[in-house]
Amino acid sequence: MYLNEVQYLEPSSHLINSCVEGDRHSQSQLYAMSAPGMFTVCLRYSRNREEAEEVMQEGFLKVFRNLHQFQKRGSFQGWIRKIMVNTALEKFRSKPNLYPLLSIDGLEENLQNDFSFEYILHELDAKDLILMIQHLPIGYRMVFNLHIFEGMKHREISESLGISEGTSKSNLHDARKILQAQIAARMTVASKNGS
Amino acid sequence: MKEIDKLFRSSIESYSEEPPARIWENIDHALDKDETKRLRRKYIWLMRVAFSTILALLSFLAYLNWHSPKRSAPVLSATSNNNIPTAGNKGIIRMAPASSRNSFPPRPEDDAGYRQASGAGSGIPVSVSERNHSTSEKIIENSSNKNKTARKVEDSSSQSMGSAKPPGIGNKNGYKAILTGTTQILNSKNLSLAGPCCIDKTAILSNHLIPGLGNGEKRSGKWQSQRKWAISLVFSPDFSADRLTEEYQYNNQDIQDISNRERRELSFTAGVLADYSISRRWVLRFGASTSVSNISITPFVVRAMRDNTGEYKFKLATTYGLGEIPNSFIRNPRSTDSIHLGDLASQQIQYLTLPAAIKYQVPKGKITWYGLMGIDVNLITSAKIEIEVPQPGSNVGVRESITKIEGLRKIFLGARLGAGIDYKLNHNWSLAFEPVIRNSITSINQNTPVRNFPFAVSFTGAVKFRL
Repeated sequence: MYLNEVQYLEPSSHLINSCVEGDRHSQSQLYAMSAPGMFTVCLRYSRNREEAEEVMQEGFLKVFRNLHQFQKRGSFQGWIRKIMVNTALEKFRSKPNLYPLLSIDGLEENLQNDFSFEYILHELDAKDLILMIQHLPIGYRMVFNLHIFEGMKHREISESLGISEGTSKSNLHDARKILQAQIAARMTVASKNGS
Repeated sequence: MKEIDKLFRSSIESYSEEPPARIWENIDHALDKDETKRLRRKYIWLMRVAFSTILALLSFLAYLNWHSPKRSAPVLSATSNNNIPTAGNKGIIRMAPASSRNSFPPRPEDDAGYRQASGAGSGIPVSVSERNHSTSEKIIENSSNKNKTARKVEDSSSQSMGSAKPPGIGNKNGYKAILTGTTQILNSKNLSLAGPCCIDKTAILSNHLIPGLGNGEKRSGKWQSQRKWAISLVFSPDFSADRLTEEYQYNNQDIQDISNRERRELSFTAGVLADYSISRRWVLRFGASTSVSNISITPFVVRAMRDNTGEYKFKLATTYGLGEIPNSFIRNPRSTDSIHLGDLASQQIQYLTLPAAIKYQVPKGKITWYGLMGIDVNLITSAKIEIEVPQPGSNVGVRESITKIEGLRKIFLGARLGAGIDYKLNHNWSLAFEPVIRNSITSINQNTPVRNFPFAVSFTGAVKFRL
């Protein structure tokens, strides 16, 4: 997990207790506190904003319905994030094979990355990168997110998604290739426009 | 490869975006519904408490009835050609010993205790007691003359009053007599008994007040005077569940997937039942009742599946059958299309039940205990699945009612087993409480992913009227 890299606000135990008791105002506060960060998580796992909103809504409903189960020893934001990821995975499992797999055979020659890390970051913002992830085939997207952002190993990913470890590795490899190709294409366009 | 990982991680992890306000509005709306459900569950709990209280109350009444004052007076039966024993009619008062007070009709050996009284000739004076005893009566014998009755007097105070009585009067010898008919008896100075006797005026006067002992009833020693018909209005909350068997998997959904997303809600039954007494203990029951059974369904994704016609359709697999979702949501669906249901999904079934049961009852004063068993013929009158499909960009989803449920039968059979208690309020009316287990013998559906044999525990309350 790479939660340490993100500065999430942790709610007070008083606020959590009020939410458990069903106080709507407290629930609203908790939502406002957590929603922006969690929406990014949902966007990464979804095909588009509408799907991300569905995941977000389902996920937060689970949070409020199961808040009494939260062990106050751990990070609350980490707990919510886990619920969001699980909700996205449930959605993935409920509609397998909805998206055709892409062929990456033609991408090999586009992998030459002549652009520096800083230059890419200058040209592409987080929204662009999220859009790229969203355009990945669903299987690739799930594996990429679970490995890169949740820090899960291939064995854990294979168990979560019901696929083999080999498939997980292969999907991650392909996802990287696709993303690199997309970045390269964007950078090429940007450099041409700049020159 | 690591560079791209780092690029995405560093760029996105620190990024946050304000979600649309409608998400919270939808969550708020859903939480309101949760609150409603929670209150409903609380209501169910209160109903359980209420029923437990009623059950405890009825049990207490039964206890009181069971432990009513013991019968202490012996049996006396009287016959005469007229209500007033006279010298001419030689009215006979037969007295039976206490040992025979529960034998009905009196055994021949009890005749040894009989005394004979003649209207004016015996010379033994009759004492007429007008004490206000707490008296209850029980018919013990009919005389050979059907117009006259004799009653047994059950007097709880008779033991204690002995000392207050003059010697030779009243229940000195353990006998206590009551002559039924008219109060002319009380005025008769000619009545005499072969032994000391006490005639309880209160009991005589109450002759017309005791339920079930009207003048028009005949006492033959066998059951024949009880009214044979009774009509009951019944109502019960049903705590129902399903016994499921898997027939086949639909869309990779097995019995666990289908049953786990359904939750039984409180159901109700109301109806009219008729009881026909074929003997003092045995009763036939039949009638009609209607039941409403509700199930809530947690949201899930319905995928388009190709059916026998070759077309892709959205079918919702439930424990009742397959509900076909109209194509109004997605026209000409393909294999990759799916519909995500909202929170309001539910299914409801209504059926008419025609029960036929036999009841064995044990009357104890005002309380009657009984057990029953029988068969139900259930006719499904309506069934529907309600769904809500959330619409992107809207707070309110589209609601749809599915009435076409594949596999649902029109008729299914069931069996019932129960026990109950009936408390007689007065001559005509009584209240009954009757827990009943109703189990279906045949499934309510066929050729469906899951066959469903519902069963329910009903806590029936009834108001009964004797015809």
